[in-house]
Amino acid sequence: MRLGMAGAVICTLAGTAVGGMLRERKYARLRLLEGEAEILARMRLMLMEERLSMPRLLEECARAAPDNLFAKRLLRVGQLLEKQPLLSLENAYGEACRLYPLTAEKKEDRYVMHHFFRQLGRGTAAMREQAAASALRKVKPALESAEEAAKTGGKLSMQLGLLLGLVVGIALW
Amino acid sequence: MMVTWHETLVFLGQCLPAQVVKQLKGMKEGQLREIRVRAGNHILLETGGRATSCPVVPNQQQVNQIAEALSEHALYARAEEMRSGFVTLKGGHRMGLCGRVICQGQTVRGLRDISSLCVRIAGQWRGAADRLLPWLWDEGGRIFSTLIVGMPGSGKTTMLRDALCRISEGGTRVCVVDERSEIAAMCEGVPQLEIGPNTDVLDGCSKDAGLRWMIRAMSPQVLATDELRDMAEGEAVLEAVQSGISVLATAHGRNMERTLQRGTLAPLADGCAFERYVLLRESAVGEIAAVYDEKLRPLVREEGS
Repeated sequence: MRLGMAGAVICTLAGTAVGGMLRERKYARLRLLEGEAEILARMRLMLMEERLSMPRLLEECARAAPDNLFAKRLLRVGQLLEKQPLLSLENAYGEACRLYPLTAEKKEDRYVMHHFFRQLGRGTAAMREQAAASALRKVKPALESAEEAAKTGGKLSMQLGLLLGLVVGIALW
Repeated sequence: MMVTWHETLVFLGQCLPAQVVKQLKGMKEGQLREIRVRAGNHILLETGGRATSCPVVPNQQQVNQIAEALSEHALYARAEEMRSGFVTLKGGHRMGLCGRVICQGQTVRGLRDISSLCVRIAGQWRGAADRLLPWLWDEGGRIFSTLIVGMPGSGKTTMLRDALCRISEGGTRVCVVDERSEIAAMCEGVPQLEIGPNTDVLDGCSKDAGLRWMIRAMSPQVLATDELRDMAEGEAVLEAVQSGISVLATAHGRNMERTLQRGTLAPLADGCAFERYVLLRESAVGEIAAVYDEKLRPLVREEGS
């Protein structure tokens, strides 16, 4: 099968696009974790300083990273608690995860946040603030490794995609 | 904006089991007085001295869930209020709590394992202060500093709220220190109960700090607060009265003489801080049993008191 010059260009572009998609997936996780860290840091302060009801607290914290996908899930948790106050926070978060799945979220990230929401629904303000601090401590190393992976892996994915597309394109010219 | 029975029903409907809500829907405005939830017992709805049992028996975990739901998942944020045994809910309703108290020495640190709760439904009763108002003004149109005394559930706060509303409607600058959000039931800066157009509310602030704040910040003609309890609050009231501001307040008590002998109120009575004392009847809600002047001489004593 011969594709000619136009086919070769299309193969190169397709390879680059695939590389771009892989790079985007790595950056998506980085952005997600950045949002989580920002929200957790704000939540720590608000738990002690503002003393809001849980739905309002989640809404205010979501405003810390308005474009972040995790913030949108947080808003959904708040809405669920408002509509069905008899739900526990842990169950509301579980329900929000089901309604608003995040593809960029890894299993270990999911575990950290589930554990955090289980603790956030219990105890005094100080205990909840500690839970947020503990979750933040777990998110930070993940964020650093995601940043590293996005920078090196993202660049590599783009280059490999472009190269692969070019090779296939030349082979089928 | 005033909370309607429909809004109360919607709020309670989200927080209580379906069978209870079904019974609540059959009730008329002003009928429901209290909801009592106890772990291992039927939920009770009290309507003017009569209790209706609901076919729901919650366990301790469910009682806890109901308490969380009623407080809009904010019990953690209301630790200070919980130490007094109750929290004020959206709409001005009061939720009293029982459970395992965490103490440090003689100080209550918190409450866990909530085992029972009692929700007292707040009501806006226009006209509750009709019989009080004639005793509030002197010939010159100045408002007397007045203490309303009554047993829990006798309608002190309802009467105070209605009096404030009427005074405010007359153009007097009224400032309310609403420590437990029971007078105005503020929700996101908006009063849920009618308190008049000329009224400023300091919500959630301790009474002693709040009264001084209002004197400094809002130049009130009338200051109002609910349930005077400790010496610091008494001192703040005295300070306000000495600044020429009329103070309207309430206090728990069955008998005027004994109530005024209490530590908090004794200095106020001795210093003639209040010019009028109003005792509410125990057997009926919002009815005046007696009115006294600053020297505790009865101005009026109604039948049966």
